[in-house]
Formats: sequence, structure tokens, C-alpha cells
Amino acid sequence: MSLDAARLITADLQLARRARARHFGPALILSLLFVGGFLVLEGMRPDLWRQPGAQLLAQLAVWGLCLVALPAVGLGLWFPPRPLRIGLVIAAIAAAVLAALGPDLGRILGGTGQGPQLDYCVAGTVGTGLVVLTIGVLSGAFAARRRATSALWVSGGLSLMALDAIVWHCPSDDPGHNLFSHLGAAALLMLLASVAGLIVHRRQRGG
Amino acid sequence: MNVAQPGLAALMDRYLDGDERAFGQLHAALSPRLRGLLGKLVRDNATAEDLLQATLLKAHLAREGFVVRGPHPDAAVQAWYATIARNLALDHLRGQVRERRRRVDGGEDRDLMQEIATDLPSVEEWQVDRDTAAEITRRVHEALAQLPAAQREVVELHKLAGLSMAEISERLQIREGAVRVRAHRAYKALARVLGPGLFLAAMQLWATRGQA
Repeated sequence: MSLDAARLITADLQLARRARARHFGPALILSLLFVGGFLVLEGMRPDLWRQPGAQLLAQLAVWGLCLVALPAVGLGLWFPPRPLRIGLVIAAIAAAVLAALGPDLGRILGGTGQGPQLDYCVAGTVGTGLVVLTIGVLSGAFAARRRATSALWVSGGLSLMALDAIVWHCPSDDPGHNLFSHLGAAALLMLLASVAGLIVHRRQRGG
Repeated sequence: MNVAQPGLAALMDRYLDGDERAFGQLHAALSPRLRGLLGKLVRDNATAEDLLQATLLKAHLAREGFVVRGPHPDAAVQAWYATIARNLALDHLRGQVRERRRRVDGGEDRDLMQEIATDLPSVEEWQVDRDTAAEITRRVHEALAQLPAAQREVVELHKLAGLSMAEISERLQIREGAVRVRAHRAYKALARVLGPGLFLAAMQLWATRGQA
């Protein structure tokens, strides 16, 4: 036989992956433009580069996770092995907590500062996330893969994006505000986006 | 340290999601078993290898239709591939019988068809619809027209007339190795011109029609 089926099939899968990357590239750029536009219009926090090094590093890691790693997994552009996937989830949670609250987590336990309330930062986080969620739904990002869990990766990506946007905008150092209005709002957004994403996946994938 | 290997169903799931590494692992796990099965059915290693390649291609094109049924997902994957392989082998054997009947020219082999009767699903179940097939055929003929005459002739005799490499060698009065080289170059050129997806579809179409 002159055919090597395995090679042809592999080439076909690679072609499909490249096509997916081309398809979702504009949606990712649009999301980035929107979040960038939000930061430009609303203004970045004046102490952005004066934050504790670990916190700034965590925020940069969150950008990397939300713009590259999580969408790549969710859209089927990257298939890391299970241990690495678990590592990514843990890294995303740890980076989000550190990015929002800073390294001095002991202050949170003190219970000082603001409690849960609907303020500008909650509205900004959820509002930003919902726009990115709409871009994701319209581009088909939640149904790019056969597995329903892919929707959770996309939801995680957009929630982290909204969190980093609000953290780079709001200069608050009140641990209560950062906990409830930044991290809490991102968690709420993650919940909403996950439910919406799973419904969209079910509808578009028929199961 | 021993790292647990993912099962066939887990690999299939990832392959269906587009993971080419998972396909590679699935291919490595299934190929020896399918090769053995096909070898037993057709009793010829070269043909079994041909049919194994065709099985993988057909399964790839039909993969969206795969669903796990029953309590044993790994067994379901193996059974799905085995069914495709067996259907292809049976179609191949039927084609051989038809060929013998044509050659015998008297109908004395008519009962041979009954000898390989099967209650398995027919290969037609895997066929693409007619419109798609017509479009693929048109594109393939356009691509074939771009090949050098010597390569085109080999492809036409192999895939369209259904001749084996040995028969083509005999007909063209050239060595079988030369036929294989021409075929290899021709298929590479076709895959380049058509792209992997369309080329796979053409192979599937040929595989189903070549036996009919």
C-alpha cells in the first residue's frame, strides 16, 4: 500500500487545529481590544508598577493564563496531559487569589474592610466578563471542542481576564473590597459563564 | 515508576476532540489487533496491511458518529474499529469473488457469494451521500489531470479499475517496484493538491466503490 493512513490523519487533525486557531484569533483580539479599551477609558491604577513584586507577577501570570493557556485548552488548540491540566487549574486559582489580594493574605483573616456589596468594581468585573462571554458565544468558543468541560476552560479564561482588568483599574488596598468586589465578582462571573457556556455547548453540540 | 496508560476510550475521546497525540497512541494500541484480525480474514499480509490503512481512514471520516454503547467503553472502541475492518475485509473478499466470477465466465462460482454472507452492517452505511461523492469525484478528476501521465495511469488502474500492483506491473510491462514508486508519488501529489481532508474523503470513496 502506498498510503500511510496515520500520517494523513495526523495531517488532517493538524489542519483542523490550524483552522480553529484562525477562526478564534479575531475573537481573542476583539476581547483583548475591549478589555484594553476599558482600561484606557476608565484609567489604570496609578500604583500599578509599585505593587508588591509577587502580586504584579501574579497579575502578569493571570494575563498569560487568560490570553494564552486557558483559551488554548478550551478551544482545542493545545492538549496538555492530565497532570499539566490539573497544574494549570491550581496555578490559575493561586494566581487569581494572589493577583487580587496580594501576598499579605493574613490581613484578610483579620476581617477588616468592606463586606459583600454591589459596587462599581463588581459591576465592572461582571460587565466586562459578560461582553467577553458574548464574544465567546458568538464565535462558537464554548462548543469548539466535543467535551463539555471545554466550556469551563473558556469561562475560566474570560473570568481571569475580567479580574485582571479590574485589578489593573482599581487601586484599592482594602482587603475586604479586594476579596468581595474583585475576587468574589470574578468567582460569580466564573459561575455565570460556566452555566451559560455549558448550556451553549449542549445546544450547539446537541448533547 | 509506572505511569498508568489511558484506556482506549479515553484515547478515543481525546482523538475525537482533535488531539493528534491521542490518535497516535490509539493507532499504536489498535493497529496490531486489527492487523491480526484482517490477516485472519484475508490470509494475506499485504492485503491486510492495505485494509488496515483503509480501516483507519474510514474510521477517521466516520468518527463523529462514534458513540460509546454498553458498560465497557474500551471494548466499544475496539469493537467499532473491528466492525469497520471486518466490513472492509468482507467487501474485499466479495470483490475477489466477483472478479473470479467474471473470469470463470460461466457462473459456476455463483454460490461463492453465499460463502461470505454476513449479517454485519454493510459498507454502504459508511458511504458519503451522492452529492458529496460527485463533488469529491469532480475535484479528484481535476487533481488527477494535473499528474504526469505515468502516475495518473497507475492511480487509475489501481483505484478506479481496482487492479493490484502486480496486475498493473504486468499490464504496463514494468517492475512492480516501479509501479509502487509511481503510486507513492502520485498519492503524495494528490494529497498535496486536494489537501488532507478531501484526499481522505477520496480514499474512502475509492475504498467503498472499488469493492462494489
